[in-house]
Amino acid sequence: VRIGQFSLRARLAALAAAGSVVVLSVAAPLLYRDLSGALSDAITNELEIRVDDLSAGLNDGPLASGSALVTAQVIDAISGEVLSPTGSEPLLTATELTRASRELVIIDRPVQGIGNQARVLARPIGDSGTGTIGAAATSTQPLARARDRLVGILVVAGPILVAAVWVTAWALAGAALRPVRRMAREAATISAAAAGRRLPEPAGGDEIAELGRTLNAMLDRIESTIAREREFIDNAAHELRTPIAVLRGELELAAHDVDEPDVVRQNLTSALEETDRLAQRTENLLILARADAGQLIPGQATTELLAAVRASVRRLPHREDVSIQVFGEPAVVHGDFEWIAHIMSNLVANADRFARSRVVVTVATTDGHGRLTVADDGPGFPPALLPRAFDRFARSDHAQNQPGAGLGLAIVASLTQALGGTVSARNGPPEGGACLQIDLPLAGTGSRL
Amino acid sequence: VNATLVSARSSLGHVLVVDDDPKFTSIAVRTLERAGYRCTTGASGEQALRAAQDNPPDAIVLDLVMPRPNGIEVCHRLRTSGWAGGVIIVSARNDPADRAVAAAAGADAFLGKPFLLDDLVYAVDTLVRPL
Repeated sequence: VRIGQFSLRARLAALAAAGSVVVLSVAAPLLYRDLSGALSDAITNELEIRVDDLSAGLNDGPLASGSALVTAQVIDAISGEVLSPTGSEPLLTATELTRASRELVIIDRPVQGIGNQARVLARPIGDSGTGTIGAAATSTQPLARARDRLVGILVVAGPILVAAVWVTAWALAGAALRPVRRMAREAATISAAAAGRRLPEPAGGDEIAELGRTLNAMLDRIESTIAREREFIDNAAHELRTPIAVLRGELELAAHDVDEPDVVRQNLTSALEETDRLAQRTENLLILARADAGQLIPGQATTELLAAVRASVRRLPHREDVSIQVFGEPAVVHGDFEWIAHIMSNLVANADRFARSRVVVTVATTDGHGRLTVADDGPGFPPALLPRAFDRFARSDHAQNQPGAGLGLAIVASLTQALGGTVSARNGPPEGGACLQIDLPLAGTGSRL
Repeated sequence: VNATLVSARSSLGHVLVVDDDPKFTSIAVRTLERAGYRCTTGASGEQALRAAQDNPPDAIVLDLVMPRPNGIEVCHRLRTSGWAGGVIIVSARNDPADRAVAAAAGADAFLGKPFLLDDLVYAVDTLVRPL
């Protein structure tokens, strides 16, 4: 039987009960000792007072004291004869007499005429050397009865007290844990399907209220992650279906116009472009999905940035009315050539789309980093878009009329971050339009993540 | 024979095609012109509203996901203004919720991309030349 299989409530109640058993088993003997000691002292005190009276020459015979009679005698220490009251049986035995002639003697023993439970107190009285002893005796039965009653009370009241503590602790723990049970019930019914549902938060600032708030904050985060993923899937589907629709349309039109080679050639060229667009978007979505899954892991390769930039620019299709110029110095950075080329092609494609006539790409080395800057002379980012330039599917209204899914810069950010680099976007110099800047750790600097 | 047929059908009606993807717009226009319709185009919700006001078409082919206002809003505004022509919403976002929203905004038909070009012609035919 493991403790963990019982409810917290049962465990707390049991713990409280066990605690009260421990407290009682320590306190009860102490209480018993203290009370019976006090009663015993009271009896001894009574006897002392009586002997003091004898010493003062007073002896009025047996006196009632409390509920018990106190018998008092003045005894001759040498003969053992009872001097007062005359004719009575001495309270002391010969041995006791000898001791009492020297010192105070207190003895618990049966005394004839008093009972089986009695106390005798004797000491020398009068002037020293007179050889008289004062003795007093009384029943200790009331003391024994009081002790018995105390034990009886402790034996009966102890378990009742323990049971009461158990029940109280059970009730208190139940009340304290009620909000937790409510939260557990509610949590069992929360699912991704019923978005927006939250756990009941108990009022106040206690630990359970804090637990409720913490769990609800966690649900908020999970829900917004799910919402983002849903939005991503929706957007991704949209981005793939659009080129497929165009591809399908072009092929269907080509099939219709099969007798007109020029028209068919145009259709097929457009279809080819759409196939490229589709392939590019699929690749982009795949990179983003890998980045999300934490599987965007760079290899060990290094790449010379300037050469990679020149190669990418040469390969990239661009608008005829836009010139793309590359300047700079060689910089060897961490990263596979394909990744760098992908970053480059997305940056240049973006600049080419918005440039008026000119895109300038520069490669420079700056404090441990290879810096790639792509600047154009277009309108720049709309101010509202600038802070989220690298967000997925972030597109300006102007850009909506352009091809492009709004994924290119998100890809750039994902790849750059996976390589341990940083991205930034601004408007203005050097070309007056948008300026995107990528810093990648130089190979051999050891600053790579 | 083909040419005669095309010219004979060239007066079937006026269709406004609005999509932010110029290549898709081009395909829709070529398809509808081949079917005998006269087409005008727009690339945003604003252009759609302006074109519909300046030169009211018999039917509008509206992309759903467009710069503001989107296809649904355009459709809703046209219906609110009392325009009674045919509205066909086309969208690469193709889930039942979108269809329901389009219908509620007053669209007559919903085509999910990609679709058969014949389906587009059929949808326009049904709205412009009811039997």
